[in-house]
Amino acid sequence: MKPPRPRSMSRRAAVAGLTGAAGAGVVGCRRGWTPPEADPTGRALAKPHVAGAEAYATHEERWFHSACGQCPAGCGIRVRVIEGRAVRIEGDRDNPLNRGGIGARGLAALQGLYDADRLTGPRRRAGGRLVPVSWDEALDEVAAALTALRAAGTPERLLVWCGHERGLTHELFARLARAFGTPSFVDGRPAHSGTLARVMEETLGVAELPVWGWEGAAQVLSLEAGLLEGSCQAVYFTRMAAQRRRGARTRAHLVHAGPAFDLSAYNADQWLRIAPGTSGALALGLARLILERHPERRELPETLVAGAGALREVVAAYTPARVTALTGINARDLVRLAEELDDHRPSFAYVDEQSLAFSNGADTARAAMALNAVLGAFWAEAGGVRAAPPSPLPPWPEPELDAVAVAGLARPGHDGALAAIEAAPPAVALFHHANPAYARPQPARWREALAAIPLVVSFSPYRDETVEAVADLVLPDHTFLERWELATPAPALDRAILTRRVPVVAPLHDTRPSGDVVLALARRVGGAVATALPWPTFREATEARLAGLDERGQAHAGFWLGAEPAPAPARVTVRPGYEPPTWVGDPARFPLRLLLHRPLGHAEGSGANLPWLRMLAPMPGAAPWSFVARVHPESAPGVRDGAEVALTSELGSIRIRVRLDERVQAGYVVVPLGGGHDAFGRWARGFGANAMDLIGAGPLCATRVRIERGGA
Amino acid sequence: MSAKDPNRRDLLRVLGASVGAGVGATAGLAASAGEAAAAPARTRRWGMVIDLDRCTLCSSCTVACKQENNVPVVGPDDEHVGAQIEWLSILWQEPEQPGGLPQGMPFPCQHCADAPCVKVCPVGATYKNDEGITMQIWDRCIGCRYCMVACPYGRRSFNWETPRWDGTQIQMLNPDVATRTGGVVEKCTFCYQRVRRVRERAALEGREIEDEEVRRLPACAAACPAEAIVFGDLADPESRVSELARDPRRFQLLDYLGTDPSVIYLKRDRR
Repeated sequence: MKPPRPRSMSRRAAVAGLTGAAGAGVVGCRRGWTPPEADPTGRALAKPHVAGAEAYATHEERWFHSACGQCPAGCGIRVRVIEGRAVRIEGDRDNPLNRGGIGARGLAALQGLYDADRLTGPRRRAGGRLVPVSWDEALDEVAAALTALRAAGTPERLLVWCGHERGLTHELFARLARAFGTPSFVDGRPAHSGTLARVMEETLGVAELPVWGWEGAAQVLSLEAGLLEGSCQAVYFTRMAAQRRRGARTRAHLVHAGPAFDLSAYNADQWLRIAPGTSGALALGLARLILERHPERRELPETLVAGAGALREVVAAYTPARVTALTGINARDLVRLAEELDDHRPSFAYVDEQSLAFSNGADTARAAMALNAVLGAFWAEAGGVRAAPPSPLPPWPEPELDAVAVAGLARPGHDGALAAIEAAPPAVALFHHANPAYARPQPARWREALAAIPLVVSFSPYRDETVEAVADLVLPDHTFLERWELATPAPALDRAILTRRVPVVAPLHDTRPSGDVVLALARRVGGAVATALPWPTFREATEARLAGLDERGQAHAGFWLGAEPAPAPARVTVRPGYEPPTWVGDPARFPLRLLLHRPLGHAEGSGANLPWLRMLAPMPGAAPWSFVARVHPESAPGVRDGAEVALTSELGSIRIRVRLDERVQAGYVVVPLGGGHDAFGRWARGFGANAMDLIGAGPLCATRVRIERGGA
Repeated sequence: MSAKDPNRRDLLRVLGASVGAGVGATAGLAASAGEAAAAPARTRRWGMVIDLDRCTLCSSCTVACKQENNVPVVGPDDEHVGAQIEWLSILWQEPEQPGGLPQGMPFPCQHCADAPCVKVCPVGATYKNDEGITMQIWDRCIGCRYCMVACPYGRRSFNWETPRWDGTQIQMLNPDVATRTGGVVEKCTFCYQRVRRVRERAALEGREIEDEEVRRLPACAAACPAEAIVFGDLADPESRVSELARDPRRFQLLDYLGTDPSVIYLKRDRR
């Protein structure tokens, strides 16, 4: 048995003092004195002082209404703060997106705020190490580099890269890039720049994810989507999936076509195992079957659906036999599914970025939209598919561009492609909520490419790979619980939502909101750039942005709800087509095809440093903390369940444990994203493997691999 | 063993109740003398219904539980396999038939009406409170783990080592719940600290607890986006939880053992 713990500080201190006085000769005093801060489970439990505690009475608690910033879903949250410390996050029951529910990712935000490995202030690389630097020095250094670029008339040599975060800070970065005169602005928000957003622009005229009408849907077909795991609207979908099953008068039916057993398959009423990347063919086959059921009706007049004539011709080739050959779904299931979709309206086919992660992603999205047109899903009365409601914020007036900016914007810029950055490295690169040294395909090559850039600046609050391996300057942002932000969540409701994040605690460290840093940089650069970003602080920029807010709609604590849905366009445009997915690699040497997926705790790639998310099983039935590749037993002969293997592609190799799983399509290997960090804090480092080492530029799922026993 | 010695057990239980006020104040869980005065007039039996047809296994409940109750993170090294502290986790059952699909369910302490863990505790560290919750006084636990052996659901966890909260992580601990030390067994308490808050508020306002204010009271129920977890008084036939508990889809885990869990599941339905 261990000796009993000292009962109080004073006794402990007394014992420590006695020990010191008596020296080493005292027998039995094996435990040294432990300061209360290092001994959280002692009776004298004392939390270290935290800035902002002075504003609270002893044990005073306050609740703050805010919005979650962990993923693009942007749920409403309430944060419980006691004596200046955030101790609890709950969903906001007034927010129509989440109605009090909250995702695991949102809950884990506290661990992000209080991450022991956060950056505590700005850093500069000196002699290969990151050393502290003052904010003024750091800002002067960046501003000097930026000013030099403009003085040399080469503003296009600035690369501005913003990650997944949606909000005013993102807008300020975009405005900085524009006023500065660089076309090299990389928008990493999948909702805006992804394949689906592009296809929605083509179909509905709005370059945003659409609004899926779950509330009234009777039947939903998920086409290889990460519906309840990787989707950026997962919390809303979870609520809707439950409500449509048990809370509604009629029960909705969810059918999921997917290559492996995941949470979406688990939750579906029916799971159809489909050959990966072929859901476009499934959609076209269903469209044909549904059109065949109504020879007398003219369901798709050209006046409403542009491309309707071509659609009939294209789908004619997708007979049930052909679709079965392509997808592996048997003809009987196909016919039944077509009948159900047709009879149980409103129904729609759902796709997301995971559905479109193949070489034929755009075609899959177009095929899904063609099926939706056949189902009459666009602006269907009770459910269906609509364009995202317009942002409630009026468009910002275009900044006035000077001659340098006009010239710079006319030159070719970077769109985030590795080869282009290797060929012509920018002079300065700013990374906000982006970690290409880990999260892009071929991280090792990325590190070399970024090392060739004279000044790499990261705004990450965490010691991620881009910070540790390549950044020359680090200007750490606050976490979202410490700063103001104005953000529009990924569209889910047919009414616009604008969320307002507030600082719920005082900043823990010497960090600064990136919005303020952008404004400070603009002031230092001066001229037209300063004129375009005139606000003294980010808070004032927020107020200025809100000043033009439309009066229609209701303001609530933490969010604003628009009154009007998006108007229906005169017609929608469909351009159906299908190409089989292509796979890179020699089939003889690399017989398996690699499927990458975003597990529940992925949080857009940034959840790896949060142990609560790390613990979550990456797939149904897995143990906590597991990180495994799943493969059908027939596809890995001689490999034992649980063995560590080498997974090798033409581009690289990783070591990973294998789980033999008959519920995975034979010939494929399924690997979760989010593992294999070599930085990013103690919980992320060394856990799992980074599948980005295996793939090249282009779609996520297009690489052939092989499994070798015994590791590399 | 003590289970064969009802007199001794009862004695310990009585002792537990009398000492409970003092020790429990430190643990932040047992009823204090002040609360005893404001004890409800009628008998309550707090219970929970988990609708597996609504549940999507998003795991929010498991994370919310850890946050609310200062549940330490254990892992990820191999030496920690099986040493996880789990008040609430997802239970997966592999299919009995080959080719079938596994089923999952949120899995908290079942708060049995006839709790085997209570019967075996030699020191009265675990006991049934007068509202039907199986409680645990951390400070009294001697770490013998008899309760873990007795619990047919495996819903108790042992701290093999004293939990650590690295650096600033200590700031986020919920001050309403005491942290536990190495050598102590811990378990779900139905977020009793939250139940007590509601009771105190109702007492201050001179009214009974409303069903509406407790439906999503435990952290798991509050976080659930699917609203699959409903909490309430099973002794009140009018409560939402009682209404759901009468659903034909209801079942209790290992009901043949006669433990009469206060956690009632509603069957999953896939068509």
